[in-house]
Amino acid sequence: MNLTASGKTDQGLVRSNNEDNFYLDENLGLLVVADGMGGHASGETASSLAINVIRDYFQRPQKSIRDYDPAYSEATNRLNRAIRLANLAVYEAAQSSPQLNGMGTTIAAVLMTGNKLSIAHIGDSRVYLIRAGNIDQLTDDHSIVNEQVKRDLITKEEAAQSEMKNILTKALGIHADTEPDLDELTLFGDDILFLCTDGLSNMITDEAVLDIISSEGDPTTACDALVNTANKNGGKDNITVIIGCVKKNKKWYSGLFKFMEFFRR
Amino acid sequence: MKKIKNSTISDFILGIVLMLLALFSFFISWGPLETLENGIYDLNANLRVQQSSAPVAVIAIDEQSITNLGRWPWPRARIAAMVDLLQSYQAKVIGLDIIYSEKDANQGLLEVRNLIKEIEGDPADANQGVALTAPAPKAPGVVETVPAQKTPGIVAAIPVKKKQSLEGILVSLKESEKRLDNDAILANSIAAGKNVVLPLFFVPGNPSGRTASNLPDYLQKNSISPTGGDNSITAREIVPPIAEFAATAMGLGHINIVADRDGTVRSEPLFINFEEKLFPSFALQLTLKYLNYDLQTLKPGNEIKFGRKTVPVDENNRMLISYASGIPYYSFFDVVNKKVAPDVFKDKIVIIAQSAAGLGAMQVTPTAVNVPPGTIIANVIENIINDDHIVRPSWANALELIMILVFGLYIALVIPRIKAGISAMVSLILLLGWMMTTIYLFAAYGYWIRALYPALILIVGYIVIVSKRYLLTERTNVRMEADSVETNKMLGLSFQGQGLLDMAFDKFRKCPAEDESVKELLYNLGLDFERKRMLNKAVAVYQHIATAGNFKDIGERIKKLTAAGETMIFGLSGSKKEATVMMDNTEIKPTLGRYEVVKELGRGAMGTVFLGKDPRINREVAIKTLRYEEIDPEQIDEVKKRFFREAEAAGKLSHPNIVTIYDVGEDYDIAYMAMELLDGTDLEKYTKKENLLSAQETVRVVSCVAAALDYAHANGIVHRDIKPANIMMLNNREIKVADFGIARVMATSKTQTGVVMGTPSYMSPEQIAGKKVDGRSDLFSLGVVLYELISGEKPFDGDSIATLMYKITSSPPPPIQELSPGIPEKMVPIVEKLLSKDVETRYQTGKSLADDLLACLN
Repeated sequence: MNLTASGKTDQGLVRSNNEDNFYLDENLGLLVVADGMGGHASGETASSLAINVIRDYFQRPQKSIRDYDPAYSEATNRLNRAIRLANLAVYEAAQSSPQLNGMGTTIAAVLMTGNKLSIAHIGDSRVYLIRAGNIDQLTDDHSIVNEQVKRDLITKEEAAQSEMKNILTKALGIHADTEPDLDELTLFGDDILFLCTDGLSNMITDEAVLDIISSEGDPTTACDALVNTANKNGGKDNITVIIGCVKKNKKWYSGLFKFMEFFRR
Repeated sequence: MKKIKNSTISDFILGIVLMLLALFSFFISWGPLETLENGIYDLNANLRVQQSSAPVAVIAIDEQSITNLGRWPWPRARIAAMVDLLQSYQAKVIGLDIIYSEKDANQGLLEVRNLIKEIEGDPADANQGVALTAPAPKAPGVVETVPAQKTPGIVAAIPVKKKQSLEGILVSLKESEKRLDNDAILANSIAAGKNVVLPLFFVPGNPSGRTASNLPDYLQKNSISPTGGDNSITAREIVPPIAEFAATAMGLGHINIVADRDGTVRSEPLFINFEEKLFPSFALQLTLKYLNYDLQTLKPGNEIKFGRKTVPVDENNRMLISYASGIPYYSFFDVVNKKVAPDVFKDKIVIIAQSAAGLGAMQVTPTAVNVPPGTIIANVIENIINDDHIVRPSWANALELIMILVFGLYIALVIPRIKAGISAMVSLILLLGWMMTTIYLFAAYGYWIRALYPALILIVGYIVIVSKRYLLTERTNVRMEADSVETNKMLGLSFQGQGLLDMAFDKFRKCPAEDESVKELLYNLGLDFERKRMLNKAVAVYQHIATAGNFKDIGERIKKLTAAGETMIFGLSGSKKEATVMMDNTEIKPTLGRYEVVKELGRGAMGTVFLGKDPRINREVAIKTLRYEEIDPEQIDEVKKRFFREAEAAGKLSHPNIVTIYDVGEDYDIAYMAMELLDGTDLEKYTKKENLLSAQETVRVVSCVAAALDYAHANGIVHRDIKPANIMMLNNREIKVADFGIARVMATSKTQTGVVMGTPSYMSPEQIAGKKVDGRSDLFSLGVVLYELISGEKPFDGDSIATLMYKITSSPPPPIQELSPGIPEKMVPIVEKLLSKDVETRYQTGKSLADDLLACLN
C-alpha cells in the first residue's frame, strides 16, 4: 500500500502559542499528532520531545523489542515501544526541572506496514478512518467526559458542552509507566486516515470533516480547508490535522488486470 | 511466552536430531565410535580377568628354548620327543600348534638315502659271490632274495674283508636314515598316543564355489555340514598338515586368529566355512576331545550345543573370549629338561606352541599386548570348559535402543526445562548409573551391553543444549545491553535537541564512554553547555569524557573553563531569570511584598512555597506563590481574579482549625499569599495500616475538621479538595485545614486545556458528575478521609480512573466493620451517612457530624 500524506498545524485564534506538534513520514508509513499541556510553553516542550523521540526511534535500526506482546504484530509492538520511550523521556524531563514539572502531552499515532495499520494513542487526540463515504473514530478518548458518556452519566451533547471536557484521564509524560491503547486494522485501497487534536474536533463535527475531505482533491488542500473552517468556527485552541490517503501499489500487471476486467464486462 | 516456546521447540528438535544421529551411527557402526566402544569393551574385559582354573597348560617354545636348543625350525624329532614325553606324563589331549604343511626337506636325510641307494645298487663281484644287500627295511613282509648276479663294478674290486665293512656302513647308514626321517618319527609319536590334535590353516576369502567332494578323508571327518543358512567366515584355501600326520591325528582344528578392525583379538571364530563344510577351531577341537565328545554331534546355530554345554556365538559363529589370568605356562626347555613336575600335565590339555618373538605372530588382546597365539587358544578352552563366557544377550540390542531413545528424549525435553546446575547433576547421575550398570553386567555376568551410544547421546546432547542456551542468553544479554545503549543515545539526543541539556547528560552518562561515538556526543553536549554559559556543567561533561581517555581538545577546554569560572558566580542552579533570585553571596535580600524571603521551603502544585519573615513584627510566615508564567496567558486575568477572591474569602476565615491567611498581594510577576507557618505534617502518613491513629484520636481529628468545615460553609466557602494531604497535624497536636479553595483555582479554570486529574479518590459523586457542589460535598470527602484513617484503606479504589469513578458514583464501600473490627459501633452509621451517594441523605452540616462524633466517645 502507498501512503500520500499531508499535515498542518495552526495556532488558532485564541491561544498565544502553539503547543501542538505533528510528524509524518510517507515512506515509513508513520503519522503522529501531539497536543502538549503544562504551564509556560512546557506543553510545547512535551509535545515536540515526544514526537522527536518517536521519530528518532523509527529512524534507527532496532533489533529486539523489549516486552514484546505476542497478541500484537511486530509493527504494533514497535509503535508501542516508541511511545513508551517517548513517555519515559517526557516524564523524566518533567521531573528534572521545576518549570517543566507536570508537563505532558497527548499522542495519537498510526503506523502502516503493508496493508496493516497499527494505531496507538494516549489522551484525546483522535484517529479517524474514512472509508466508503463513512467516517469512523478509531480511538477512544481518554477524557473524563468520555468516561461519563460511556457510563451513561451524560450524553454526548452534554459532554461537548461540559466544563470538564478538556480534562484527561491519561496523558503521556505524567506517569513513568503509562502505556498507550493499541489497535490494529486492515487497510483497503482508497481508505483515508485522519488524525487531529481536540482543537479541531471541538470546532467541527465529524460529518463536516467528512464533507470537507471528500470535496477536496488532495490532502494538502483538505488540510488547509479544515484549518480554515475550524478557525471560522472559533479557533479556540491549537489546531493540528494530518490526512493520509492509502492507495494500492500500482504493479505493472495491474494494468493488465484492468484490461481483462474491461473485457469481462 | 513466545520466546520460551521457540527455544523449547528448537531444543526439542535438536534433541531429536541428535538422537537420530546416534541411532544412525548405531546401525551403521561408524568407525571412530566403534573404536571408542572397543575401548570401553577392553576396559571392561580387564575388570573381568580372574584366575583361571581350567585343565590347560601351555608349553611355549620361547626365547630361552631357542637359545638353548638351537635355531628354529627345530628337527621334527625333537617335537616328537616332547610329544612322547607328554604322553608318558599321561596328558589327556595334546595340541600341537605347529603347522607341518610340507614334508621335512632334510638335506642330510637325502644324502644318506642317496648313499644307501648307491651302495645297494652296485652288484657284488660275481666271483666273490658276496651280495652286498643290506637287510634294508623295505616293505614289511617282503623277503628279500637277491639273485646272485655277477656284474663287474667297483665294489667287485674291493677285497672281501673290505666288503664286510661296507655292510656295516650300510647298516649304520640305514640307522641314520631312520634317525633322520623326522616325519616318520613324528608321525609315529602322533599315531602312538591317539591324542594329538593338529592345526589347519585357512586363507580367508570368498569361496571358490567348489564343494567338499574332493576333500581327503581326514578333512571330511574333521568337519561338519552346516545346518540351514550359515554366516561363518569363509575361506578359499586350506593348508592342512601333511597327510602322514593328518591321517593319524586325533583331530584337526583351524588356528586362524581373526582380530577386530582395530587389530585386537576379542573373539574366535569357532567354525570356518570351507567349501560348504564347517571346520572347528583348534581350541574347540581340543575341548571336544578332552570332554570326549564327537565333532559330528555338534549342533551349530545361535548357540553351539554339545552334550550339556552351550557355547554362545554371534551370527558369524564367533565366540567372545573372556580373558583370564593364571594359565600355566612353561618353557619348552624346562619341560624337556624335566624341570617341570609331570602331574602338571597329567589329565590335562597341553598345548605346544611358539611364543618367541619373530616366530609366531604375536597378538594384541584387550588385556595384554604381546600375546602368543597359544595363550589365546588356552583362554578359549578355559572359557568353554568353565562356561565362562562373554555374551551379547538377545535383549542387548533392544536395551541399547531403548536407552538411546530414553536419553534422547531426556535431552530433548527435560534438560531445556530445568536449571543448568540441576541438569548437570542429573545428567551425571544418569551417565554414571548407565555406565556402572553396563560395567557390572559385564564383569559379573559377562553380558556385553554396548554402553557407548546412549552415553554419547547424553554427553553430547547435554553439552550442545547447555552451550546453546548459554550462548543464546549471552547473546540476548549482549543484545539487550546494546539495545539500551542505543536507546539512551537516542533519548539523550532528543533531550539535547529540546534544550534539556542536563537530562541529555544523564542519558549519555549511561553509555560506555570508551566508545568513540559516545565521546563525540558528549563533546557536542559540552559545547552546547558552553554556549548557554553553563560553564561548570560543560566542565563536568569534559571531565567525564576524560575518565575514558583524551579526546580532541577537552584538556585545554577544562583548563580554560575552570579559570573562567572562578571569576563568575557559581552556585546558580539554573541561572535562569525565572528562578527566584537566590544568590549565595549577595547582601541584598529578596522580598515579596513586605516580607523577606529567607529560603525556599518546597514546591507545591501552584508554585513555590518560601519561608518568609515579616520584618515589622518579626514573625515567620509561609509564603505561597502563584506564578503567572504557569498559566495560559489569556487566562491570567481570570485566574488572578479568582485567586484574590478566594484568598480574600479565606482570609476572612478565622478559626482555630483553619490555617490563617495573613496577607495577600502581588509582586511583579508573582501573586503571593502569606500564611501561618505550620510546624507539622499532614495526615497522609496516618492513612497507612501500620500507622493508624487510635479511635479516639481519629474522632478528635475529624471533629476538628468538621468544625472547621462547618464554620467555612457557614461563611459561604467550599473547600472542594478535602484530603489527608490538606489536613495538617502540628507538632503540638493541633489540627489545621489548609488550602481552602486555593487548589481549585488551578484545577478547574473553565477553559483550561487538558489537565490530568489526580486520583479523584476523595471526590464526591456530584463532583464527578460535574454538577454544582456545596459544603456537603466537602463532608463526603471528609467521610472518605475518616474511612481511611480508621481502616488504612480507601473506600473506593480501582486500577483505572474509570473504575474509580464508577465505584464512587454507584457502588457502596466495603463495610468498615469488616476491615476494622475494633471500630466502636456508634461510628459505623456515621461513616455510612457521610459516604451516602445521595446528597440529601448525607450530613447536612459539619456541626451535626461533630456532634455525632463526640457522642461516639461516650
